[in-house]
Parts: sequence; C-alpha cells; structure tokens
Amino acid sequence: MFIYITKRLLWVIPTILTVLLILFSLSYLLPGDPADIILGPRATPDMAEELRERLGLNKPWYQSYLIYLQNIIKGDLGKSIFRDRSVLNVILEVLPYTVILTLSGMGLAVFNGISMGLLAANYNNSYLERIITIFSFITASTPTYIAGVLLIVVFSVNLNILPSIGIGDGGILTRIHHLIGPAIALSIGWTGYIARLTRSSMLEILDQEFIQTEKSFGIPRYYIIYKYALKKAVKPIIAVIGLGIGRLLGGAVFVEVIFNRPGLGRLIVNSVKERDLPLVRGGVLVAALLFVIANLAADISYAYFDPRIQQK
Amino acid sequence: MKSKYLFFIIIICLFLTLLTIPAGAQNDSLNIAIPGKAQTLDPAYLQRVLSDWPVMNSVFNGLVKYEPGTFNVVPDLAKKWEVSENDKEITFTLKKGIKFHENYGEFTAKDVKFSFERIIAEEANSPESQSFSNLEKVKIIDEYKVKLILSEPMGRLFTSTLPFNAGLIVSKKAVEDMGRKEFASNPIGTGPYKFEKWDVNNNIILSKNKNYFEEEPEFGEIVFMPMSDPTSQELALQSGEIDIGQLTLDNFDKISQMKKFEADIYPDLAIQYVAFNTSKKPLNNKKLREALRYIINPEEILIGAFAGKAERAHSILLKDMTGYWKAPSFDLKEVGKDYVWNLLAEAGYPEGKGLELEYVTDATEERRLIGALIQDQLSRFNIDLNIEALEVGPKIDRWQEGSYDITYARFTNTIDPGYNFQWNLSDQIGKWNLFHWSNEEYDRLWQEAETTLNKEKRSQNYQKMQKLMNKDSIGVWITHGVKTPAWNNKVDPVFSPDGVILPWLIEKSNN
Repeated sequence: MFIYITKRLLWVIPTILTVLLILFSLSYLLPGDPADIILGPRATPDMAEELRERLGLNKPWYQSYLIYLQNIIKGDLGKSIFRDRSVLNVILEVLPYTVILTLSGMGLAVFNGISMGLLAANYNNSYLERIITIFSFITASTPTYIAGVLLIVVFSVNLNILPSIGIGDGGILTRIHHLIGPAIALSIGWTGYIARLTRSSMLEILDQEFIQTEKSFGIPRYYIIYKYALKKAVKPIIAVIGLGIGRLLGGAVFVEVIFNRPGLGRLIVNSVKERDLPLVRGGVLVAALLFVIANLAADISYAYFDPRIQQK
Repeated sequence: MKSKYLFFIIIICLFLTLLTIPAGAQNDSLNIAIPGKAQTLDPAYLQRVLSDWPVMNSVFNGLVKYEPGTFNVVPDLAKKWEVSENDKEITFTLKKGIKFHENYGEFTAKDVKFSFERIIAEEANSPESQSFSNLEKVKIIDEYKVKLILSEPMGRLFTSTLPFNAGLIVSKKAVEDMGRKEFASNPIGTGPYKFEKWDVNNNIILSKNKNYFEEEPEFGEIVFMPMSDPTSQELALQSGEIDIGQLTLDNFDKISQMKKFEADIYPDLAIQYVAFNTSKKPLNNKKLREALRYIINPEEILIGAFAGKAERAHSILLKDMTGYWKAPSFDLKEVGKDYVWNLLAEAGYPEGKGLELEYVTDATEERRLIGALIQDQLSRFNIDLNIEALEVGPKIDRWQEGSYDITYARFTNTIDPGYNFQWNLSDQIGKWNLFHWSNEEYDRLWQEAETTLNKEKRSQNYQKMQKLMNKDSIGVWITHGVKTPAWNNKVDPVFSPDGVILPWLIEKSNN
C-alpha cells in the first residue's frame, strides 16, 4: 500500500510541471502584443513597458520560466494586472465557495443517485424502475448550464422561492438558501449517472451466490440489501467520485457564471475575458491541483477498498 | 430508528423556512447590475471608465458636472469660475462647508490641487494623465479658491476632463492616511453615497451620505452587482433580485412589454464603423471607395445584426454634441445601380470583375454576422469579400500592420470630440488609425480645436474635419450601438443621454 501511494504521489510532479509549462507559455502563445491587448488605447508607453516587465516578456523565455517556477515554489503566484493584489489572495478568497459548491453538488448527487439506484434495483422490472431509468437518462444527459437556467426560470422567476444570484449575505440560512439552486444544478448530471451505476452494480451483486444463501437463511430483505449488498455495490461508485469531483469542478464554472456566485470558475472566466494573465495562470494552476488531488484521493481509496489494484 | 425520522423532519423544516425567505431585495435598498467587476475605486487609476462611472459618480464629485439628463456642464463642487484672457488660467471659487465622508474633514482647495496633481505627476503612471495633458500645475489661492495653470489652452477641459472621471476630487487626507493601495478599495469622496463594502462576490455596496451638500438621495443603500452574462441579468431582473439592469436586443420587446417592467433604448456614445484601408491597393482608389459606400448599406446591417433597435450613425458624434455634422448617406436607391456600376468601371473594375477584398473582424457572433451581411451586399456587385474572423490579439496586429482592405471596429467615445477624433490623426497610423489615412489639414484642424476653449471655433473645426473624411470616403459610419436599460416599476430612474444610470437621482415610484 505504501509503495503504491508513493508511486502515485510521484506521478503528480510531472503532471504539475507540464501544467506549469503550458500555463507559462500562454503569454507567448497569445498572438499580438499582450500590452496592447490588455491595456488598449488608453495605455501610456510607460504602462505598457511596466506590464511587459511584469509578465517577464523582456527576458528570454527560459529565464522567465525559471523565475516563474522559483516564485511558485515560494508560493508566489504573481500579482493581478488590474487589481493591485496578489493572485494567491484573490484565489484563496473565492476558493472556499467553489469547494463548498462542488462538495454539496457531489453530496446531493451521491445521496440522490444511490437512493434512486437502490429503489430501481429493489423494484426491478416494475414501473418505478422504468420511471427511474428514464429520469436518470434525462438527468445524466442534461448539461449543467441548461439545468441551471431551467432551475432559475422555474424556481426564481416563476415561483420566486429560490434566489438566482449571489451567495447571500449574513446568516448561514441565507447562505444555504443561495446554495440550493446551484448545488442542484451541479448535481443533476451525476445523479443520473450514479443512479444507473448503483442499479447495475446492485443487480449484479443481488444475483451472486452469497446473497442467495442469505436469502435461504431467511434474513429479511432490507437487511440483506443495506447490510451486505450495498457495502459491496458502493465500491465502483467511490471510484467514480474522484473523477466526478474533477468534472464537477468544470461544471462549477457554468454554475458560478449563471448564478453569479464567486468562485474559482468565474474568476478564471473573468480573468480570461480581461486577459489578466497572472490571474488566469494562478486560477488554472489551482484548478489543476484540485483535480490531481481529487483523482489521487480516488485512486488511493479505491486501492484501499479493492487490494487487487495495488498489485497491478 | 425514531431518531432518524426526527432528523429528517428537522431537515425538511429547515428547508421550508429557507423557502420563505424572500429572494428579492429589501425596500430601502437598490440593486443595480453593472456589466463587469470594477478593478479599483480610485479615479486616478480607473481602467474601465465607462462601466464603472455610475459607482464613481455616486461616491465622488467633480468641480463641475453634467446636468442630469444632458451633457451641459454646470457647477458641482465649484461655485463659479473665471477663465483668463489667453485661456490658460482658470480660477475656481469653491463652495464652502462641504464635508468628505467618514470625518475626513472639509473639502478645500488643497484637495483639488492634490487630486489633479497626483494624476499628472510623472511617477504616478496614471491612465488619466492624457486627460490633463496641458495642465502644468494647480495653485491654491486661498482655502476656497484654486487656479489651474495650463501650458496651452485645453479644449477638452470642460467637456470630458473636469466633469468626467479625471476631474473627480478625492480627499487628500484620506489618500495620505491610507496610502494609495488601501484607498483604491476604500474610497473617500464628497458624493451622495459613501462607500461601505466591496464583498467577495465583487458587489459594491454604498450607503446614503446623510451630510450630502445637495438633496439627499431617496434610497438608503445601493448594491452594484457585476453581472457579465446578459441572460443572467434578464433572469435576475424578472425574479426581482435586481432593480435595474440591461436587456439583450433579442428579448427587449418581450420583457419591456411586461407589466412589471419598463425599458428604454438609448444610443451608446461609441461609434461602430466600416473602415477602408486607404493606403493599400485596391482601396487606395477613391472612386472604388465611393462605390463601396453606395454598396454597403447600414440599414440592412442594423436590421440583421441589431434587431432593428439601433439607429444609424451619420457621424462619429451623437446628434446633440458639439461639432456634429451629418455625413451624406450615399443611398443606392437614390442614384440607382447603374451609377454604381459606372463608378466601378471608372475605378478600373468594370462589372466588379477581379475585385477580391480582405475583411478583418472579431470572432464574435455579432461581428461575423455583420461581415456576412457586407459580404452579401458586395456580392451583388460581383465583388468577393474574404472574411477573416480573428481573436483580439491577431486582429490588433493586422490593424496596426494595415494588412487588410476593409475592417469593422467599435471605438468607445467620450463627450469631448477631440478625444473621439484623435484616432484618425496621421501619427495614429500603425496604432489606432484604421483608415491608414493621413490628411495634414485634418491634423491641423484637430490641433487647433484641441487648444481653444471657444466652443464655436471647435465646432467649426470638427465639422470641417468630418467633411474631409467624407470627401475622401474613408469608411461608412454604421451605428452608435444601443444601451437598453430596464427597471422594475418600483423605481423611477434617471439616465444620462447615453443611457448611463445616475444612481442618486433614482426615486421610489408611485405605482
């Protein structure tokens, strides 16, 4: 186990280095003079010169890449071009909102998905199963941004019971109130996916011999399902959660823009629009780190649940 | 088992309480959507002057201001002013007893000196420095009298410098106490609203300044919410979470007809135009450019790409601005197709044959559509148009190299014509002169108008300059674009002539 985890951890380093190289080359890949694009006609020549220096465009690329790496190791992600603030601070300010949103989206998806999957498996070949199957197909193929806009139209514009913008100020209750819509929008795609996964893995396990034996012992049906079958069926779901966190982080971009919430996704989108390069680099780097960490956690937890993985 | 049910019941109860919290705003508070998040609240370092103007205008005052609803300049912090014979010295007499927010003391002449000189100081690197290009220094005569000393008379001083962002007065004490960085997110002015908070969602929250020297605003609190997505703005407006926002042209009719909302269309200050590259073959041929002016029909573009909501522009300037001159519209129907075929033949392209033009534009949907419309119009005269839709960076590169025949551009304007006409000067070739057009007379007239305060003289010069551009057929003005503010019927807003909200004048509506 220890060797496996170390190996996985070591793989993180080249991944991050590649991400850094790509991010770094952004300012060279972007056609045109960044100073012109970023500052526009209002810029004085002095401002343009200062900006080139800050972006490291006045030095050869390998030198500035090394400086960039050095700074990152020191935890310095640079300064935002427009706001006179350190990129790290700007990111740390909004990151909790993205993490909370992603976790609550994941939580909702797992809870609803497993419940629906269990119901479907339990009432196999019934109308309920068919309805759940259709429902999970629809939700699994609904893009996050469509779900978000639909939720706003129905619950904010027509029924006027859920807020459509912001995070709410003040109390924890308003914060949660503002989280409901975005979390549901984010969870919808994965709810259907997890429901289908749970159903098929449950059916497979309910078919196995040890379950038949337990049945023949007269153990109550709900006891078999919750106590024995679910425990086994949940393993493949844990594996996809790690992947899911990454995908949900991507979905959070749309949700944050549509619901006008602060967060890493919206920060990146806005800074791309403004061409605030240091902020784009910092934001994408942190997003990449989150993705890598989530995958790592999934790999390790999967290996923990299924020791056969470690041998490979 | 029982405790489990209890847990569920508690959760459901919590949920239901949440749903009873009203989603909309409170009564004394006003939520206004602004297009992008502000970068700084320090007027000397503002980058996006136009979009942040409603915020700055609520917190700060200038010596003079635009009379609400017009572009006429009237006194604000200054009581009156005198201009010297040679237009190089302007003496302002200030109003007495005006207080800065948060106990930063009385507004006096030293604040004026400080506010302007921090912009022109060389090490300041302020993007506003060009607004004060000829300002040499500011002299304090006494506490309530201050003199601006100019190296040359400045035409734009009273049109776009003093009443606009560069002319806003900051508290000297506040900037010195806090330092520039802190001040940028904690501005202290004399305006009708004072700054409260800039929250993590980038909302800017202002509260009423109870000691305002003019009539107090009606709403106690204003929240400016940056919302870059226009659809979100429309939805939030409908759910009542914002009171004032912008509509998209596609949904304008639908929403403005709803009972709960009102909406209006204002011309933008910007200018959108088709520019011909006059320094490169084949469009260095004036006859050919004339033919193109007949062929390119702005009316069709307005219907196709602006839902018929935008009005056609006949000048860089809006109609009621100093120096407006209506360029002839070169209507194809008036002269007939034969006339244009003849022009093409005279230009050396009989039947339009062999004419292939490069068209450079942005990669946005709207701009591609405009390109396609122009392509279609030209194809009626057998002219091929190759559209190249580019990202901003490469597009600017091409502009500056001049490697295109036709391009489409949008330039933001100010109220000062001098600013708006400067991009077509000879020394802007290779920078922002998209016509790659140079005319000595134009340059001279611009320079002359730049250094006089005589409105009549300026107006004449700008008209002459427009006639020069017209004579050379360097392009086609398409439209100023539109602003489409909408508001719910709880409020009664006031806008500037170009559709920018004046937050402190918003009243509660009677209906």
